[in-house]
Amino acid sequence: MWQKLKNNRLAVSGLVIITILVAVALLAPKIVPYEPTSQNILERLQKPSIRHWLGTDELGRDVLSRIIYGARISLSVGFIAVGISLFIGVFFGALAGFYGHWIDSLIMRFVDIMFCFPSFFLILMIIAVLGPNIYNVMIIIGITSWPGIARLVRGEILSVKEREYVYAAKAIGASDLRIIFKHILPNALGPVLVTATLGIADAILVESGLSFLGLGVQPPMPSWGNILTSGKDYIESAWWLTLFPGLAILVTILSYNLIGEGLREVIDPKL
Amino acid sequence: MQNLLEIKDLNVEYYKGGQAIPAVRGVDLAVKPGEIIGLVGESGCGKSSIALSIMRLIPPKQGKIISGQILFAGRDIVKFSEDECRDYRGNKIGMVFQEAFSSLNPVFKVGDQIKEAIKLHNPDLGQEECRQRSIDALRLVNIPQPKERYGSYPHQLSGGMQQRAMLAMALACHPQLLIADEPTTALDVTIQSQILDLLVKFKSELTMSILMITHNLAIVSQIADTVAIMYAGQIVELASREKIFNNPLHPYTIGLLNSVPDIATRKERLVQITGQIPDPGNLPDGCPFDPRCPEALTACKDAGPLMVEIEEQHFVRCFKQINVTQG
Amino acid sequence: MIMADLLEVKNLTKYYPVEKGVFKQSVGTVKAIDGVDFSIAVKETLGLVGESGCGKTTCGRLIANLLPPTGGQVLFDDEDIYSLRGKHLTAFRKKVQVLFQDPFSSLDPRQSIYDIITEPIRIHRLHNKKDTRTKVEELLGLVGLPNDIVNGYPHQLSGGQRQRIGLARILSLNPRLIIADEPVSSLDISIQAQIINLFKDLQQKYDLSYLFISHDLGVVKHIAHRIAVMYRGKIMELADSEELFARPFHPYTKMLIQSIPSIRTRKNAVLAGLEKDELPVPVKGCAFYARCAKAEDRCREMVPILEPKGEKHFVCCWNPE
Repeated sequence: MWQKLKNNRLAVSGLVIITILVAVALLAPKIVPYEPTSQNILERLQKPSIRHWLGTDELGRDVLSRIIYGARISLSVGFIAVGISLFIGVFFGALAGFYGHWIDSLIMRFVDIMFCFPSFFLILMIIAVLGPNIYNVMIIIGITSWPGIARLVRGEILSVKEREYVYAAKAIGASDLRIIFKHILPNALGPVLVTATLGIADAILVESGLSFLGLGVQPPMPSWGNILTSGKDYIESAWWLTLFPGLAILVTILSYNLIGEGLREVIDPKL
Repeated sequence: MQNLLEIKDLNVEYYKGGQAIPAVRGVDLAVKPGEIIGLVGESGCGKSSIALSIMRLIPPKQGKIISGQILFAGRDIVKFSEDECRDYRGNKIGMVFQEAFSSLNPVFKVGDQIKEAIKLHNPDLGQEECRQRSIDALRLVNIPQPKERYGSYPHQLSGGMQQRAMLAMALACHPQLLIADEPTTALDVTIQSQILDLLVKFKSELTMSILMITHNLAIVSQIADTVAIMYAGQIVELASREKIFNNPLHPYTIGLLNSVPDIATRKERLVQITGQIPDPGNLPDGCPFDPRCPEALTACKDAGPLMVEIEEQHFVRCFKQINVTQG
Repeated sequence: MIMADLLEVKNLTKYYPVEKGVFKQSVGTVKAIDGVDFSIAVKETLGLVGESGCGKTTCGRLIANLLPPTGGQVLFDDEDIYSLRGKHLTAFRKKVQVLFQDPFSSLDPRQSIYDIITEPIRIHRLHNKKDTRTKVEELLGLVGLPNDIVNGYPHQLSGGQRQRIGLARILSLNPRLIIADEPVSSLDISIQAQIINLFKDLQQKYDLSYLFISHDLGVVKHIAHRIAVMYRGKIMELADSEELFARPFHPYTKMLIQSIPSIRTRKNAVLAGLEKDELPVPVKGCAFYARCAKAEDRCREMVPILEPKGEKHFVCCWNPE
C-alpha cells in the first residue's frame, strides 16, 4: 500500500506539507521569532519585512508567530475532532452492521435525523449554550460529524460480512472475535481512512469558520480563523493580515484532500 | 464469396504500469457473409481485444491498435474517424456482452433503449415507426408479449430475458455482423441453449455473420461453421468445425479438447495440460505454448512458428505439423 | 469401495423471512431449502447440481454449519451437528471443510499466502512454528505449488493457483469431508482439468468425501459417484452418476442433460419453456409444475416426494418414465 502511495506524487506532496506543519506546530515555542501574544504598539500594521516576515497586526504582534501557534490549534482540532467522530462512528456503524435487525434500524434512523440538521447551525447552537472555547469546539465538531462515518462503516461491514473469505474463516473454526478483528475490520477500514482524512480538512475549516465568527478560539490565543477576523477590518490597508492565514488554511486543506484522494486511489482495487 | 470482414496482421497492445503488453499479435481472420465463426481461447488470450478492436472500443488510455487492417466491406475500420466509427457501431456491426444486466441502463424502459438505438441510426424515422421497429426486434428474439415487455425496466426481466433484450438492441438496425462476447456464460444451461438457437436462426434467416467469442468449446461445436483457436494473442489453429473437432492438429487444441469434462463421455482422469497460461508481459522467446507442449521440438524454443495451411482450409501454427507435412 | 455413511441429511429446511418496512416486519418466507434428504459415504463424492438460485449453495453452507437451519437434522458421524457446542463444534469444524467458488473473493486480500495457509493451524494450535514451516511445504507439494509462493499475496496469483491455495489451507486440518462450492467454474478449461484431477488424487490419498456443488453437469459427471439434482430447494432426482445419465427419470433432469452442449455430438435445441424466475413460486403442488411438459392436474395440487425408482435411484415426480 505504501509502495503504491509513494507513486502518487500529489499525495506525497500533501503528506510532506502536513509533516512539516506538524513539526512546526510541535516545535512552535522553539522556532517562533516573537511571542505570539506580545504586543508592540510602535510596530503595528507593518508590511512584511526582514524583521517581521509576514508583517504585524493592529496590536503590533508578529503574524508569522501567530500563524505558527495557530497551526497548533488547527491541527489539533482536526485530529481530535476526527478522532472523536471516528470513535463514535466506527462504534455505532459496526454495531449496526454486525447485528442488523432493530439495532441497525434504530441507529440508522438516528443517523438520518442527524443528517437532517444543517450541522453548522447545530454547532452554532451548542456553542451558544456551552460557551465558546477550544475544547468545546473540538468535542462539538466530533459529535456532529460522526453520522457519515457510521453510515460508511455499516455499509462496508455489510458488504465485507458476506464475502466468501469471511465464511471461509468461519468454516476453518475461527472465533467471532478473530473474524471481526482479523478479517472484517481491516478490510472495511480502507474507505473509512479516506473519509477520516478528508474529515480532518472539514474540521479545520469549521474551526476556522467558528473562530472567524468569534465563536471558536478566543483571542488573544491565536487561531487561523481569528487572525482572519481581526484582519478583515484592515483588508484594504493591511492585506497581509488576511492573505497569510488564508493561505495557511488553503494549503492545509488542500494537502489533506490530496492525501485523502491518494489513499482512495490506493485502497480502491478498481482503480 | 467475398469476405464481409477481413482482419489482416492485427497487433494490439495494452499499457500496464508504463509497460506495453501485447494482447493481440499478428492475427489474420476472415468472416464470410452468413457465417458463424467461433473464436475460442482461455482468459487473457486476446479474444476480447479482437472484438473491441473491430468495434474500435479499446479505451484510448489503456491500449491501442499498433498495426494491421480491419477491412469491413472493403473499408479499413482502423483508419476510421470517431464519427465514422459511431456510424458503424450498432448500424453495421452489433455487439452483445457477457453481462447483459450491466449493459442495459437501469433507469430506462427496455423498449425505449432499443428505440433510441434505432432513432440514432435512422433520424428520419418517426417516433411511432421507431417504436414499431423496436417491438419487432423484441419479437425477433422470441420475447413473449413484446408489446407489454416494451415497457419493462431491466431489473424486471430475468437474466435470459435481459440477454434477449440486448440481442434485440444489437439487431434493431439489422447489422451485417454481430459480435457476441461470451453471451451465454452468465446464463443457466437451459436458457443458454435457447440463446444459441436464436443465434443460429439469425444466421439463416437474416444472413447475418456472427463472431462468437467464448471459452466454451462445446458451444462452438454446436453453432460455429469455422473455429479459430487462440493462445497468447495468436490464432494457433483455424479450420472448419468438422476439422477442428474431428482432426485437431495443434497440440494446444488437442489438449483443450481432451481436458473438457464433456457430458457425453466419462473418464476416470481428465487429460490435463500442465503448467500455467503464460504471462502476456513475459512471453517465452519461441512458440508461446512450448513450455506446456507435450510434443515440443528443439526448434520451438528459439522462434515462433508461422501459420501454415497443412491441409485444405486447415491452418496451424506449429513446427511439428510443418515437419510432418514436409515429410 | 464405498463404506459407511459419513454424513446424513434429514429433512433439512431453510426459510428466509421476507422483511419489509422500517422495523423489518416479516411478510412471508422464501423457501431456500425445502425438505432435503441425502447421505454421503466415506470416500464418496456426491454431486449436487442445479441452476442458479436453486439453493445448492445454501445447502452447502447449512451442512458446513455456517448457517442455522429452519428445520431438520444433519448427522456427521451420527452426531447432530447443530447441537454441537464448544470443543465438539471446534472438532467438527476441523473435520468438515468448505472450498469456495470464487478464488478471488474466498482468500482475504490483506493476508499473505503464508498467513492464509497457516491460519487454520494457528487457530487450532496444531503445530509449533518450526513444524508449521515444514507442514506448509508439505501442503504446497500436495497441491502442486512451488514453495516460494508463500511470500506473495492472493492478487498476484492466477485463479487456478488460488484454488490450490484454498485446498492447501483446508487440507492442513486433515478434514474428512470437503464441501466444494463450484470450485472450478471460474477457471479456464485447461486449469479446470488440473484441479478436477487434483481432487481425485487427494480423495484416493486421504479417503476424503466430497459434496461437490456445481451447475455444470459435465464437470460433475467426471468427478461424482452419485448425483443429486436440485430445483427450487428440493431434490428432484438422486442416482449413481452413470445411472442418472443413462436413465434419467425426472423431466427436469432430462431437460438439463439435453441442454448441455457436447463437443462430441450436435444436438437439436430443447424447449426449455419459461425461465424459472419468470414464474410465480407455486403455493402447492410440484415446484417444477410450470415448466414441465408432462404436467397434469395432480402435479398442480399435490407435492411429489422423493421415492425409489430402481436400485439406488430416487425420483421426485408423479410421472417418472
